[in-house]
Amino acid sequence: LKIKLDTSVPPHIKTRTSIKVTMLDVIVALIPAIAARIVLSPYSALLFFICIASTVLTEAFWQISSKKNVTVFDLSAVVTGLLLALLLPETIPLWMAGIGSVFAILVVKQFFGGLGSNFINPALAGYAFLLFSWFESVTSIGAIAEPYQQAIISIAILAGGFYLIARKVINWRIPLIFIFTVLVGVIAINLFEYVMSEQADVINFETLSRIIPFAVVSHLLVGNLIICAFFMATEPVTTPLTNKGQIYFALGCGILTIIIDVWGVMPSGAIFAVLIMNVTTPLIDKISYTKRYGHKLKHTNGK
Amino acid sequence: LKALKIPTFKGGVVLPENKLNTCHIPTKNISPPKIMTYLMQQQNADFVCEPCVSVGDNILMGQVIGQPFSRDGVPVHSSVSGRVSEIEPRLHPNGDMIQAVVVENNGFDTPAPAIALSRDYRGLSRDEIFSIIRKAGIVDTNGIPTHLKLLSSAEQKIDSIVLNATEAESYLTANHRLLLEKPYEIINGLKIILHALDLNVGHIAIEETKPDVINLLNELASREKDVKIQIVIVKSKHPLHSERQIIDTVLGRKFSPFKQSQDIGVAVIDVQNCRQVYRSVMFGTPLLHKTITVSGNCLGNPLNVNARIGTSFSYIFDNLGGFSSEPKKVITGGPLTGTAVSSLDIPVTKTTYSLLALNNAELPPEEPCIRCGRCVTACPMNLMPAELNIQALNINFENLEKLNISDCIECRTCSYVCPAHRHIAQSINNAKRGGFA
Repeated sequence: LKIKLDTSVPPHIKTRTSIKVTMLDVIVALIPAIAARIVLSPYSALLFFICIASTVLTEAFWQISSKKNVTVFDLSAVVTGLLLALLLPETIPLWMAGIGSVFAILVVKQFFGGLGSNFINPALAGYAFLLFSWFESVTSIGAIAEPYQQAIISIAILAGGFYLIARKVINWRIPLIFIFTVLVGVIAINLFEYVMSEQADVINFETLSRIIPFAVVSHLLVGNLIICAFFMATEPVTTPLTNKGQIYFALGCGILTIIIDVWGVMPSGAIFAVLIMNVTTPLIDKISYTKRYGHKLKHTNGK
Repeated sequence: LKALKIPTFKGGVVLPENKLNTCHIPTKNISPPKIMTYLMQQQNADFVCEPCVSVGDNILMGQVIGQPFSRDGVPVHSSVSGRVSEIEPRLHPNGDMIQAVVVENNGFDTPAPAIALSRDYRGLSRDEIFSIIRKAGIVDTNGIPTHLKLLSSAEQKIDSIVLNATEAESYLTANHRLLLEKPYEIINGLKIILHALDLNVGHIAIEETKPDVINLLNELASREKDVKIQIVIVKSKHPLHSERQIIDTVLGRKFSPFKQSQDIGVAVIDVQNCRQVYRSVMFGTPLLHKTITVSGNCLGNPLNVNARIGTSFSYIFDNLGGFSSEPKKVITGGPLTGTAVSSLDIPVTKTTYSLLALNNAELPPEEPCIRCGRCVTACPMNLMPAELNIQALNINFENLEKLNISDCIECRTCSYVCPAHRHIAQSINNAKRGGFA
């Protein structure tokens, strides 16, 4: 009996999950939000289609023309397209959305080395690019104008976020600390302004019940905070590796969001907060290395 | 609430069990084949022996055929009686050619004089017991002689004994079967070691996934009067076979990678050598048998076998009815830490505890790291495997050292959990040995 046997170094078995499964989970988590958008404004189906088609085709085109392995089937381009479409208003001209998608994939992702090498979140970078280029079109209030409609979408995104936490694709640290920081900060600032203002009264239950729901509704349910906290700030490539680093990252995102929202001129502070924190990720990584096992002394970090 | 919490360690991974098809079947004894091969390097490269018989000699079962070079080493015994037919290099599981004594079995199993005949260990002193353990050639699954692990270091006396009865890796059930079939021998082996070290508390770590063993051990432990046997139920998580992790789980003591378990006063022993201590001290038989899990998805009837050291792998597989489908890989050891062998002519050694025939030879291709951090969370030694992988691929030894590469215990958890299927542990282990990844 002669059998040809393979030899290799261990491990000989691997986990069943893969990048594709992870991306598929993200797509599944986005389905409620997509459905809500399409129900509230059927026109946005076209927006989703354009964004996904342009991200996927751009990636395939770039990889074929530069003679690389075509990796569009790992679905990361689909996720980028979906997230960008969710950030944009329905009224944006479709060619603009297409240009934003191409920029996100080609310049931000592929020029820096493809999946795993981008230094900022491609979808957010695509949004920022469109915002600087066509400010009115991107900030125009779309068909989904009513706050309650925006709240429905936010809740749909929240449901997807909890699905990702349950599936252990993301952990709770970044989104919950991010949102908590923003809420605490906004409530504190509102209270401070109220106290400083002319008609300042004693702080009682009535004033609190006026200020806190306002802050929660205006920052949490209207705007981009939820999608940024659950889907953008948790993108693994551009966030710190360790739990400690992720906590610093989330705190930074929260503080920058407050600063931009309260004193800045840009709309949607959460998006720029995440973009800025993306750039600081290598620095956060350096100060948040894991502690050496069994050592009481602080160990010397790499680099 | 604290009592409800199952003790465990930080990091690690719960592996698929794949144990059900072997853990309920009694262990099968395999009679020795005609030709037995005894490698002179039974464990790792630190403990090599020299043949002390010559071709044509008639030898007895249990006779010493290889004497260790180093003072700390243990001898190799013949597990059959017969005639030495050849002394020549043969293939070792790790791929080296190692000097080996080949014995033609005459089938009579004529025993050599016993190394000790006491029948009552209570009359023996510590040094006498250690000497029997050394003469019997008992080693643990990592290949370290048991008497060395029980020796106290200069500054610290050994104050705790942990019997590691866990096997968190997939497929392995040898400990499970041994605990069910020979619980007295194992408990008594532990008692002998406790007596030798003048201790009266011994810990047995067992996973929560084995309720039958837990019940049996609890019952036996409650009958003990002069010593206390404490059963610690732990979470089944790889790498429980690692000393640092089992000591952390059972006793809550962490020790730095520069220290040995003896330095903090703990000795970890495993089920097979605990049982062998009992047999050697009470009946004077050296280490001749190993209980081996023969499993994997290429076997028709997987089970645990009791095979003699020196039996070739192919004989064991043939004895179980051969393969149901052609295996791509045969692994000795667990699927995460074991070695894939290139030939089935390799014999059973003192450190063999499982033979797995698997048909999934191809691992999925590597994809780019997406920095998800799962390897960092899973690393039981608080390392940064993702960073280590980058530095190992860049062959940057300076940064590897700053990232404490020497702390790696080679449990391969990082490679297992990686969703991008990166060969993290492989590159780290290569770099650790000074090679380039």
